[in-house]
Amino acid sequence: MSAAEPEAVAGPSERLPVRRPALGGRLLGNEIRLLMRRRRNQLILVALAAIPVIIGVAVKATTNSGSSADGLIGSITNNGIFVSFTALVVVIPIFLPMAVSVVVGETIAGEAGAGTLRYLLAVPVGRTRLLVIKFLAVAFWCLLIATTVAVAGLVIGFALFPAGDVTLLSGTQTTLLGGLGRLLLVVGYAGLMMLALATAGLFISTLTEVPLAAMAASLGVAIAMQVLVAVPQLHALRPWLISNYFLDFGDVLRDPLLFGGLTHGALAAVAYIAIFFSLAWARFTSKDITS
Amino acid sequence: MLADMHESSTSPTPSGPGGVPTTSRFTQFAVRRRALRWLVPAGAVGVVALLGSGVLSADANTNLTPQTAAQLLASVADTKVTGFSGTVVEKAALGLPELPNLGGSGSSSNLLGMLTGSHTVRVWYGGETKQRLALVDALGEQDVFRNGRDLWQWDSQTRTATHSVLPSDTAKPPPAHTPALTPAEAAAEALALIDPTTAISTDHTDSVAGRSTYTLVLTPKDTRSRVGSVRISLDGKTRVPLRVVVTARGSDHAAIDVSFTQVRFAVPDDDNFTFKPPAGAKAPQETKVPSHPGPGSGNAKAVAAGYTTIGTGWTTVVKVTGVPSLTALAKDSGQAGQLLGALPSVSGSWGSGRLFTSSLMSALITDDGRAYVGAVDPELLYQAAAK
Repeated sequence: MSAAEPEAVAGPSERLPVRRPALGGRLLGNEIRLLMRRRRNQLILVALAAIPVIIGVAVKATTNSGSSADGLIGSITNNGIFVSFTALVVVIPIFLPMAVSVVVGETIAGEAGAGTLRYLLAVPVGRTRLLVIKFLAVAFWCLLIATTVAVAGLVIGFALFPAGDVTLLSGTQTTLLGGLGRLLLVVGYAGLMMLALATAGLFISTLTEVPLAAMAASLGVAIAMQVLVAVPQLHALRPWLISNYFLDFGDVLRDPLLFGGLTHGALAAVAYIAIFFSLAWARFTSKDITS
Repeated sequence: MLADMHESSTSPTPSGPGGVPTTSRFTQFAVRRRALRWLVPAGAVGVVALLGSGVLSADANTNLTPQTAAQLLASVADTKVTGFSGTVVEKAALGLPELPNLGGSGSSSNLLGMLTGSHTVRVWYGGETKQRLALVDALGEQDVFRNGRDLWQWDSQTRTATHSVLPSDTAKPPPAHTPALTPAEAAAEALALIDPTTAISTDHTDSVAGRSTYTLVLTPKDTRSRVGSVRISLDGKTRVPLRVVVTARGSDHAAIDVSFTQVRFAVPDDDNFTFKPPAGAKAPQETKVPSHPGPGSGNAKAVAAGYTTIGTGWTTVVKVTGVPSLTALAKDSGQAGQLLGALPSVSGSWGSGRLFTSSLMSALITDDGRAYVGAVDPELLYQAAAK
């Protein structure tokens, strides 16, 4: 069948192993450039950056009138770094999964829908390699959106509120540098969580040639998991749902750091990535590419 | 795994070196090979399911020399541990309804909250005058630091740091009145109940928090007790209780499960016990805890003011007087009133009131402001109320 043809083209590249990393790197660079150049993705980044700004301004406006909030949001008035932490808590359940779904729906289904997948595979590039490149580009995006929220939070936080020693949840303090290190951990953790969701989306994207359907389905999966976690009767399901681990990054703010929940979350994410990437691979390398 | 996939797919077409197969065989072969690819995700699911459900980690081979129940009990009695730290997970399934926030602080880690659901407590123990407890919430934490006579309580939700100075003659009492938070405390309470009313046996060795443990099973002989059994897992080396599981009579599921999920037997660093109120924290006035009254904060004292115990051992009933009377509570349109109103009303020679029962606990609140609580059948509560 026609499906064998693009794969057969991959044959010669095997005999030219020197060209492979260069080609892979170039493709990944292209992929990321394409990702960043898309107006829609730029708008997503701007929207995400606006969330910490709104939080920071809102807290500044209300504390001037004398009321003081409780919990994480109340810590903002003491240290601007908490704008970033609060913003990440706010965006991780819905906004980040949305940003991920939009991009991940595009990956394979987008190329198939636009009719470019055939040509892409006609370049001497194996399907596995193409899938890995798409995966890496999505991983970049996952880290980028979490970083955007954190950096925007830091900028607005330090503009409006004092910096200095960071008071942790345990009531003890760490240096600002220590606080930034912990923020970096949170960003990495949030990125990994999103990558787990994204890999599920990548698999969905290999199932259809309609990018919109892939986007909607990925987002649907993300929201469905949130709903399942929220139902107390389905307690037993929770350890298997990745969204159950989203907010565990609060443990980063304890003294000493509590790794139990974070490790569980990271392992669950790795499991999601392994399962859905292998599913995507099995599907993508065995399906007929017709468009 | 990635490398694995990569390798198998760099030559996705079956162009075998040993000659070109005929077209039909070629297609067949290709189809079969493609189908085989689905084995990879299937394998990934299998591995994850195995690891996730703990089949591989449940290592029953613990290499402990067998001990009798008496030997174990004796060795528990002279356990000497200079210090440890760890994480304890407490799960309670007492059959209580999910309580709305009666404590009002919005956090689930107040005393009432401890009776339902699952809670994580971090523990540091560095001797009799150095302790720290941290009740861990999703995005909050409540801490108690004790260092010598200094006692600090911290609540991250309200960012309140409360300092109190303990009297110099109290070396032993725990820093705050917390119901059996560590397995050691829970085991001590259970072991205190051992008398002729209890059958003690051992069970197969187990593994808790990555350490090999002996299992001690306490079974109440009195069938009026609602406690079916108490299983205590003792660390193979130090004999420190690492896990306590309480099962209600006639039930297979744990009603209370207090277990270390991670433990380290070494004296924790001193900076774990020191606390300095952070800038911007609310600091209520310093309090001096008077010498003699038992441990506990003001709140706990008020509740504990009029409580007595009736009976002994497993069938002990706790009587609390000075509870707001039911008629007053019924007028209360708040959640407490609604909760009580939903309980069945009972009456007898002792008067009348409302009865709450669960698989492990019974509680009776009389109309005239008495309350009886115990891990016993309701009949025992009625008997106690009649006295």
